[in-house]
Amino acid sequence: MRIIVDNHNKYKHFNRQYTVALGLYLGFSLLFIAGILTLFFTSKEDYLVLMIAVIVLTIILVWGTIYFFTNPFRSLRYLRNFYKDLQAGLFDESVLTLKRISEDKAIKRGVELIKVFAVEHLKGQDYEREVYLLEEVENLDFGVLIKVRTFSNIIVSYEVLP
Amino acid sequence: MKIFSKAAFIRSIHYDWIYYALSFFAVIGLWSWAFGILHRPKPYEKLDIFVAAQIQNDTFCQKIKEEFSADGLKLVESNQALPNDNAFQSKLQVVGYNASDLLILPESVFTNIHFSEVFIEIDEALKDDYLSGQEVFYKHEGRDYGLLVRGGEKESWLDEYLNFDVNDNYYLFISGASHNIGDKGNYQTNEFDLALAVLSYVVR
Repeated sequence: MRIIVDNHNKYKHFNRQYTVALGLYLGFSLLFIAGILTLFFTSKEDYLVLMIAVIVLTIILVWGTIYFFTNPFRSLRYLRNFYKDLQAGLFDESVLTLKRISEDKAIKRGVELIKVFAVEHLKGQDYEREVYLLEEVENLDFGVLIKVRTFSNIIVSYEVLP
Repeated sequence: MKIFSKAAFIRSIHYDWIYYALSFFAVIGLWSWAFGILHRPKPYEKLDIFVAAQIQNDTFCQKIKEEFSADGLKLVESNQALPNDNAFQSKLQVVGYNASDLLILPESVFTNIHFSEVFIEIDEALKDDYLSGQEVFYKHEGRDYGLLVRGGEKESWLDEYLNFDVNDNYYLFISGASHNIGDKGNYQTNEFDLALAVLSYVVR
């Protein structure tokens, strides 16, 4: 049995990253907000230039917030939840033959995954199927019959069948 | 796996561009509004003039503002109401008495006005401090309340801005509800007297 996704400590790792990212975001946001409000309340009557500066800073903050919550934070949240669920999750088992790695990347909730084309052997029939890898894996066994354990269509482990 | 990925960002733009676009306009709108509110003239930095005649051109407000900007006057606004309008009395009561500093009224509408309740008496102290001595007053029950703006032989610089009835006499009154009449009205704002400072200029 070859373990692809090592669950050990992964949840802790991503949970920590998730908390740190949230803390950094809150810290930077509060600094930005404090700066913006200081500029606003200390503005004089001739405020055009200062207003433009405040608008630019606010747009940076708002766009940064949108980016943060729709990209890196979303990915971290997905990974954190993925590893948490993996600890107690129900795995799927399939018999596959891995064909090749796709040049296209799959993006799932902001996380870039490696797409692998495979053929699933089920009840004497062959079906084309795509499975995913979280990270690059060296010496993946292509072209041989393997029994794959997946979680959310992501390969967790496999063993080469005789 | 990549947490920060250009491809993932470009893909997310397809879904989230509306938030970026809307927030851009919302931020500009909100800050423009907020700065406007923060820096709008205070009640003691602006004058509201109620005119019971048709205003042809309100640039006389700008002229008054320019003349007294060094004294802290930042905004002069005017409201008009025509005496033959059905809503004139209501507008006079709501806008004129309560929300204006100065009122220019024709003699023909004086019958329903309780001068002592709504206007400031122009007493000797006020005449000494703020007037030039050339003014003609409207007297009611032995007290001076109004300053002649135009009528009879007197013409006014406001003739080119306001459509006065040539058969009527127009007087300038000081509202008791003004924030700009020192300690003479409803508010004890001794240091703010812009409404008194402009009297001579308006009736010149």
